[in-house]
Amino acid sequence: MTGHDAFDRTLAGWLEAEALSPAPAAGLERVLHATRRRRPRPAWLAGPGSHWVGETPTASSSAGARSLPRSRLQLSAALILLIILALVGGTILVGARLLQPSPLPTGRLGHLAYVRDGGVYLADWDGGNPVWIGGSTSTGDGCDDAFLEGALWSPNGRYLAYRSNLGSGCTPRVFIHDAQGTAIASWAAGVGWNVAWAPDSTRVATWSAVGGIDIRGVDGVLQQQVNLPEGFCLCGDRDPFWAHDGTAILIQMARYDALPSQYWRLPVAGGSPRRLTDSDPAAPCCLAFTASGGRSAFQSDGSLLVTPADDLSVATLAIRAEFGRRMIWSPTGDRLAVTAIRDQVVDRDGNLVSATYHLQLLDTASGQLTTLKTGSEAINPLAFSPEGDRVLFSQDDATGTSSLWSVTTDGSDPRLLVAGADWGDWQWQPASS
Amino acid sequence: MQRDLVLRARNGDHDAFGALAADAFDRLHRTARLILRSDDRAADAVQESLMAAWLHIRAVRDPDRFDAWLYRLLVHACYREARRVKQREVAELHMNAPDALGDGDAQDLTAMRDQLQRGFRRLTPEQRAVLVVHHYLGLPDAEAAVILGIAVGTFKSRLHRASAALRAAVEADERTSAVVRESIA
Repeated sequence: MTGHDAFDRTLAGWLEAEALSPAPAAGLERVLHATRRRRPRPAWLAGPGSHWVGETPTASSSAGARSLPRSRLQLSAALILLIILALVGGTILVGARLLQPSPLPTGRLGHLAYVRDGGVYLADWDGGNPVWIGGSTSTGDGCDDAFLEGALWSPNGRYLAYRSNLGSGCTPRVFIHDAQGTAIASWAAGVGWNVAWAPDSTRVATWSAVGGIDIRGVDGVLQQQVNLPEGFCLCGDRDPFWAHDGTAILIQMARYDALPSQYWRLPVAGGSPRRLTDSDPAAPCCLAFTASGGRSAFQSDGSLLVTPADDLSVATLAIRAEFGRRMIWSPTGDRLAVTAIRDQVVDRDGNLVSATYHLQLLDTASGQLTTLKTGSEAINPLAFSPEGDRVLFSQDDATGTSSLWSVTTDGSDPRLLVAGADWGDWQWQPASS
Repeated sequence: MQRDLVLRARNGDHDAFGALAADAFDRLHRTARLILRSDDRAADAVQESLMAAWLHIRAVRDPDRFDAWLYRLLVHACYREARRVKQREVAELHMNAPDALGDGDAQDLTAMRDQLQRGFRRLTPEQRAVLVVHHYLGLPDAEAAVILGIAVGTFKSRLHRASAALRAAVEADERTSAVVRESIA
């Protein structure tokens, strides 16, 4: 073997030949299955991204090195904004209805339903006396795990719903149980995460296995199919949910040729879809309604916005800061449980190296934030107690294992409820039961 | 077409991401296998890189650069895989198409292939990655450097050293073989 060119040609040919054998066919399926059950990180966690590709490495290196100071700068700006907003919070409120809290929903704290190692359990509100009711009984291959991101319990506390692939060869299914944990219905559903409970607790909405949105009763019987308008994409795992009056499905979708996606209202009884957000170029996310349906909160372009439920373009409170995707309204609709994410440090590959997470209560009248729990690992608010005095939340530990906790709304009495649980929801038992 | 898929995937459309992953899967696996010299470890690296791609898809600001971004994730996944698994090296021999190696009789080609196989295995994963990105993917120096996360100058010098190391390994192998042949004769 003589000469650099000859050697290089031989090496290139050998590499080409070495690469010939095909990749294992099951590998792609496994990856897609794994990714289907996780969401992409939101833009603020996604990192510096691909702008470095094609730039000089020196530039990209310095961009990476600037990540920390820039995040501090943004944090400082956010803090200043927060202070200003707190000072003038009373004056930025518009709409007299926002000053009048909704009537207190009646109910008492019932059972805790939670998901652990792919199994679904019913327990006392504080995690005591757990009973397995469905999903996987072991950490198998992941095909039979229960999984979800939304509420388990129906609003009236009489049913619970979750997704699982149990016994179906990795095909998603929805299961409905009664309040005692007995399975009463199950059906094959499309991809997704949440099972959206209608406000009257008689129906659920999920992506159908063949596209569109299925509306089924608690007995599993298909009642209606809602199709997306022609030319709109499903936008992956953006799950449908219900308008507060139960007359429409709300969904985040976009035309194939006009990203980003926006929230739309699809009337269940038929009629023209209506876009809920205005021409804001940024995709909104995380829309959450108060129990009475009068107000909404969502995030858009790095801000948390509170708006009337029927007009998302009129922000009555805006806080520019980084918050986690999940936001929970208090029963009276005057406070939001959110997670503020601060001190983010990302490496040059865009991976989040560290951050601090602050479970907070946002008083939407004053804009004041009260910190309930702080940690260096992810915190996710899950539910309020019916009395509004405790918050259920999950928190990861350093190994990435999630556990369920609760804390009072003044930040006292933090309690570990279930170690190792991925997700949970508190039942609101009607006061009459 | 790919641009549309990236835009849709960036917006959370898993089907679009699935199409991108299906299109890239073979290429990624072949590249990873060359760097890691193991099918199983390559599969792990590809899985890790595609998982990272989905989780970080919103970081893709220029959809036309998606491929380069994906390769960078793969190379880093390969490095991590190589560091993580200090397992016993198992030779995985693949039957190659003879004409893929260029001119020469079959015996010489087989010997050359074996020499390259052994020599390549002696290189570090970083050296293999440089050679794979340059000779297999055929990328320009600037883009190859970005994918590997190093400066262009570093890339050039690393490529030179990796080539030299491989040549030295192959030549040492040739000398050893010659001694063996002479002793047998």
